[in-house]
Amino acid sequence: MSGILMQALTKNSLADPYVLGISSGASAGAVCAILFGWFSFAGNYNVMFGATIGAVIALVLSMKVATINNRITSTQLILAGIAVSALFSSLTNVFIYHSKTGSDKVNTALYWMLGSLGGANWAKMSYGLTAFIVCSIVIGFFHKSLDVLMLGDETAATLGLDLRRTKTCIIILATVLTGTIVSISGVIGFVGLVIPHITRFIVGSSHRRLIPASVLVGGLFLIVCDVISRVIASPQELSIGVVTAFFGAPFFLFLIRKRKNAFRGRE
Amino acid sequence: MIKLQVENLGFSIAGQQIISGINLIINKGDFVGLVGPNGCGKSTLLKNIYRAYKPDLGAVFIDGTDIFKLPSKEAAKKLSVVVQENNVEFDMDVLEMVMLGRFAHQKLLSSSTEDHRVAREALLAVGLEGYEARSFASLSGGEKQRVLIARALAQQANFIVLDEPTNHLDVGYQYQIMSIVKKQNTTVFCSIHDLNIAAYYCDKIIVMNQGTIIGYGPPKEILTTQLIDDLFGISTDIIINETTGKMQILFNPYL
Repeated sequence: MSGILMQALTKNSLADPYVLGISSGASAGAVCAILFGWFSFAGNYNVMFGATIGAVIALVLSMKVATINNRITSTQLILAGIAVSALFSSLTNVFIYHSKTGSDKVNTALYWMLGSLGGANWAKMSYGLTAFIVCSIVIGFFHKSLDVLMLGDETAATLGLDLRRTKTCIIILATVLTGTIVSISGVIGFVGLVIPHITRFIVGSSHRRLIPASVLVGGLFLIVCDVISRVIASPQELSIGVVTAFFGAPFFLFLIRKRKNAFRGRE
Repeated sequence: MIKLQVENLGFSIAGQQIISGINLIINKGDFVGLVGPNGCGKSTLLKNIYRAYKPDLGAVFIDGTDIFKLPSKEAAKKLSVVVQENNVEFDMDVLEMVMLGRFAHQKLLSSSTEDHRVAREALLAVGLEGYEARSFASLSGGEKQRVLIARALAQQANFIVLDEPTNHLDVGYQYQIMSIVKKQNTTVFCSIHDLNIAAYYCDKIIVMNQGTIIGYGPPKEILTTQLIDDLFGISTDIIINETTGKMQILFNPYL
């Protein structure tokens, strides 16, 4: 779902929280919260809060870097995303290695880098679900704005969209959502990239159908990947991020390749 | 009645003055063309009118209201815009595209039957009935442009600004698009490259050069051999086309 928001925001079908480094930012934020006890004023929600802050910083950073003359080009976006992502991943690792000992470090680091549903429990799920439902309702109100936004800033404005307000809302929603999810599961890459495309192919671009459908397809995809991740390395559990990346990365390459052809045809 | 009034408009990009001292009035119901050489500031002027740029100086009034003081949705009900056919990253079907024109009229959640009626009427007006379920990306350039005009009509704004809407289209589509726009009961301000098209469709023509307006009036008074030579550096003969009764510009290159 966050992937859809990102794609509408950047008008770029390659965007997703993972590619833009937002997930890594959230991960770094979450680790900070856990290890250093930051954001303790947020009580039990401190991890979530930390993750959201991390996500905001990462998003702002990669959008700023990627924007040249008010336009975001794909190349810029991906490069900025890689840089931001690498930066936050390394931060995460530095934090972890700094404060943990022994093999524990490696496991923790892997957990945050690759993601796992293993650490999820019902208590975490309940606040994740709450955030998810709240965000879904707000997005429900926004689905038309998202449709309009996809036409590009200028056109969207002439059709009567208040750009600044809409974009601010989208950024808040997407980062809160990413932050929350990452604080539960760590970084599970490529889901936000692959799922909207597959779903768009099935139900079309209108966000009214796209969003609920993506949630369903995304959930399904995750369950399948989770099962795979538990089965192939059985009795140990492989990180789910490994599995999603295994499917997602080739898809990402395919998208880049497809776009190249599209550009060639246009010029 | 005055539809659009532009007062002492000036705009610069990165310190370079693109347009300055623009004053103009467009009356309700007029079809006004905007012509001038490449880079003379036509698009910049239009962008300042449809709020893509914010003027450094001056103001733009539609129906007597300063458009920069209107909320986005209210502005979209007063003015619709068609620019050169733009590629969309995400495909959607034709009816969905036209329905986006209803954005400013819609309530938060659902589209009313009224919205659907207006959208279908707009498609009918551009001769694309039956195309509702077609994918936008699969259409030809001329059809895409007609869909975008339908979207603009669906805004029910009574004032359409078009920025070279027929660029990249073959001659048949060029005249078809302009005829469709001309038939609508609306005020039109349209930048046009082809002088014969401008002469054929426009009630009045505004001529720009180097960021200022240098002429405004009916085509026959404005588009003279002298002016065309001054602006575009090409010699012309101007005749009356006996079939259409309109003026026709014949170009005689110096080369």
